[in-house]
Amino acid sequence: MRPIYKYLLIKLSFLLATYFVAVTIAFVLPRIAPGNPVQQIVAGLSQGSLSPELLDQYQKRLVEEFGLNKPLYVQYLEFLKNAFSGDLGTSISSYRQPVTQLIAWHLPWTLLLLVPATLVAWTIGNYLGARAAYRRGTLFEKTVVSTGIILSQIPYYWMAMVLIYVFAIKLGWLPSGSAYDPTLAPSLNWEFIKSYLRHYILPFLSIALVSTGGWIIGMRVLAAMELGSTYVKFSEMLNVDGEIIFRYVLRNSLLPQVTGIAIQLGTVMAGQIITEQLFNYQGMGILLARALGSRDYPMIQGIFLILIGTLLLANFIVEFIYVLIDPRIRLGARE
Amino acid sequence: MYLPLFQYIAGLNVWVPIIGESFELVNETTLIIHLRPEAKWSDGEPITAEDVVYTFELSKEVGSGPAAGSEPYIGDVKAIDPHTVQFTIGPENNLPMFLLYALQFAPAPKHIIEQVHQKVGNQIIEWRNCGGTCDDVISTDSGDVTINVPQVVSGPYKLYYFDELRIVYERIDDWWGKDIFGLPSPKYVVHRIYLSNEQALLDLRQGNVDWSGIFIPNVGNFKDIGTFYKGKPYFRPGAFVVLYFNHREPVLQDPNLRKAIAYAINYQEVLTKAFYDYSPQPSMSLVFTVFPHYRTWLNTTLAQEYLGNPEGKMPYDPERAKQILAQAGYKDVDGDGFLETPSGEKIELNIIIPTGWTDWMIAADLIAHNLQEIGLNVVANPVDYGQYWGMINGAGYTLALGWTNSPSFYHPWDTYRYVLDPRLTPPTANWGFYNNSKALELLVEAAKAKSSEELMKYYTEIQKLIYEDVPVIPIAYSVQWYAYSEKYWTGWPNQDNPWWTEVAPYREYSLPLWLLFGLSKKGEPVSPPQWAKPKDEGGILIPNKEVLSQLSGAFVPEVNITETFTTSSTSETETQPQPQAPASSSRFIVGILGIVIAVVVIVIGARKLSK
Repeated sequence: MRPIYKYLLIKLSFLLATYFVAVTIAFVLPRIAPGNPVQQIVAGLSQGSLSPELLDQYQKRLVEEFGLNKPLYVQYLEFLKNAFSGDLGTSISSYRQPVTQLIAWHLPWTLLLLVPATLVAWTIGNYLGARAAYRRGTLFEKTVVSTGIILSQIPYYWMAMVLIYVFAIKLGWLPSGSAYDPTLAPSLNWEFIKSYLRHYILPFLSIALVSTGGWIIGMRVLAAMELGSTYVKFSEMLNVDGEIIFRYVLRNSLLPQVTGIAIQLGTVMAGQIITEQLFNYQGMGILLARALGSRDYPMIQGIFLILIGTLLLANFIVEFIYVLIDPRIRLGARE
Repeated sequence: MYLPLFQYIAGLNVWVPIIGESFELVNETTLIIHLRPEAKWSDGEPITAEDVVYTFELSKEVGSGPAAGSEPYIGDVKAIDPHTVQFTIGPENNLPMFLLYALQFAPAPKHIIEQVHQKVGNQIIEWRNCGGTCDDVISTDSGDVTINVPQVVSGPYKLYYFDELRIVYERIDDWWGKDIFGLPSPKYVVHRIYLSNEQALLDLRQGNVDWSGIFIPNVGNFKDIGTFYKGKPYFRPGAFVVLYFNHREPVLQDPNLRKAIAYAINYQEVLTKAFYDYSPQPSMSLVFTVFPHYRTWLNTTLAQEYLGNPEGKMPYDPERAKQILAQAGYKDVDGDGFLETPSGEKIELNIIIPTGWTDWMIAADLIAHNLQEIGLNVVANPVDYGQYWGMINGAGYTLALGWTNSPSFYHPWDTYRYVLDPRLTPPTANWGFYNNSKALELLVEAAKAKSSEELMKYYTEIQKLIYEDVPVIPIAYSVQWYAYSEKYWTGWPNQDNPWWTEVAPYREYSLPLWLLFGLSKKGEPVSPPQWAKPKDEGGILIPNKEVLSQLSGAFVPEVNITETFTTSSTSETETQPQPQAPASSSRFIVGILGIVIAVVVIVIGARKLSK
């Protein structure tokens, strides 16, 4: 077996094991928390003038329908079967809609925010970090690095609140929430796209700014190490043009940052889930909040499966790319 | 939308004859209902007694739908002719509940539901048909079944479109009821789903939304929003907000402590600071005294005697609270500043409320503060809504703010039952696990009362029991959130135009849609529908007193109560039904965690080895 395949095989088995652990936790956690979805639906109805008997029957009915009265290990086995086959069941709290359908509706909004924000932050952060490392001791470096440190330590939600306060409430330049003007229906016409972009700016900034900070810090350290390496010193002696050296340094220190994307994605996703709630951005964050609040087991499980699956897959792809771009891994796997 | 035969309107104390035209209680066991001959389904088929019978039978068989839970109250339903239905009382012999179920029964179209039933058997859950606007897929034990039936309804609107954020209804222009009720003014009704209150409020203020049912703090500050009352309290009351005691908690089983707590709360302050003055102080008697037609059931002499005012409002009297506790032997034994029980046990209480319900959080905080002032160790404890329900259902709380039902035509019996009936458990009713055989006896008897005098006798007994035993403490009325914008539509029901009173857009049965019948486009004259008046004023609404008089006119023979009562009220009895809890076992959880840990260990080991 060629080393590269062996390497990927090991990675793949880790991926499956991690997935299994993660989905198990997703199954257990909501059930450990007090409360269950059916009680809440019934409790809400009991405010009206419906009779207690009717509500009782309704409750029994729901418990049976969603199999909540089956022994837990049966529920768990069913869930595992579904988790590896892609059937996520039906939501309890939203009128029995299939969970997949709900996720399909919410996920694009999240990805449209997450992916560009991450890529933009990665690009800008790395460039600035490398520049700062290259121009050691200048005012530029001090500014960039201190800004980076401050930004990277700000929690996503705090950044979101500050942005909402300044740009939406104080200045009134931008809308304070939702993904588009709710009077419009999502469609590909100019009016809708304009509205979407206006609503896009603040959530995008709150995620991108914070993660840019992180990339700056990481890159500066990597580039500084690279600058100490022999080939850089040698080129400097030869009086090679600084820009050319910078390009080499940038390229060589970017390698570890590629893996960094995969590691970062999880953090950003977690941050974004809260950010979305602050902005009422109808992505997975809102859906998850709703699911958690109503203890909608199938929906919580489904969301976690999708999120974890996406992250693991992203990780795996990044590892794969890494193998392609870094010869050290390809050859190192031979040892 | 399936309309009911009749619908009771609490605010006006009348019944709207919708699909039903009239009814009579022939004797103590039989109710005859005449259907309107002009009533038709939206596909032109007449609505007949057959539909009523079929819906009842099927609903009973599958355990969901309009007849669910009716077994104790309705024995059987027969079609006498196409437009006459006969309901027979069920084994409980409970006339009020019988009438409530029978009169408000909402038939579904037999010719459509039959097809659905054939396809999915008893898996029928949603009694709806949305033909074409939604992919009606029901997952049965034998796989998913697509129900492909046309949308057939009895109401004036049909479902037109829906997605995650909006539900659109379209008016049926040749609706069968247009000669009786007219047609609602708007051609389309869009129900918007908001992810946040702020957003919804903003839209309402800008007129992007005409009618809204959201929580609005300090509504008096917004001049651009219309509410039912021009000044305080702005909103109409919907039900009670009460402080529940967990009666399974040994400390709280002493009525002296409960009474002291009732005296210690500064109600006025809570109503002003937490509930924005949207509600007057409710009566301790749990009678909905805001509406005059219910007020008659409050025994004013008794209230005067016990609480010092005819309205039965609990006075705020912290000194008296301290006195009650001192006399009962509560004192601070260990010097921590808080009282212990007469037997020297620590008292540690907390009031749970759902986190995020800001008004309730403030209220709980104020109440906790009041109780600390009389020496009780009480804190407010906001918990996540799921946990809140978990704690209440599992009797795992001490104090909680909660709600009661909305009054029905047989108020206050329904509310008494909601808070006192030991046969019920949360989340359907009796949040406090109150277990008092005397209360049960009175409830059963009151439901069999033959005259209003007799009924009043039982109500007086129950009120006395409440004043002496303090099973719950009413804090405020919960509010029917109803606000409107006059940017496009006028003629909204309000204090000057009170033709319709059930105005919150979220009440069951899509009932409030009736308010659309009185709207006019801005600039056109406003006139409330002519039919919306009691019969004696030329309308078609049936006053509730007719129903009550039929009730008391019903000849009720002596009925042997087959209930057996346990004599002890404090000890736990097996008669308390246990709510059907989803299976849970800690062993299983431990096992799962074990598996997870094992996998993690294996993964780490594998990593180490592969290095």
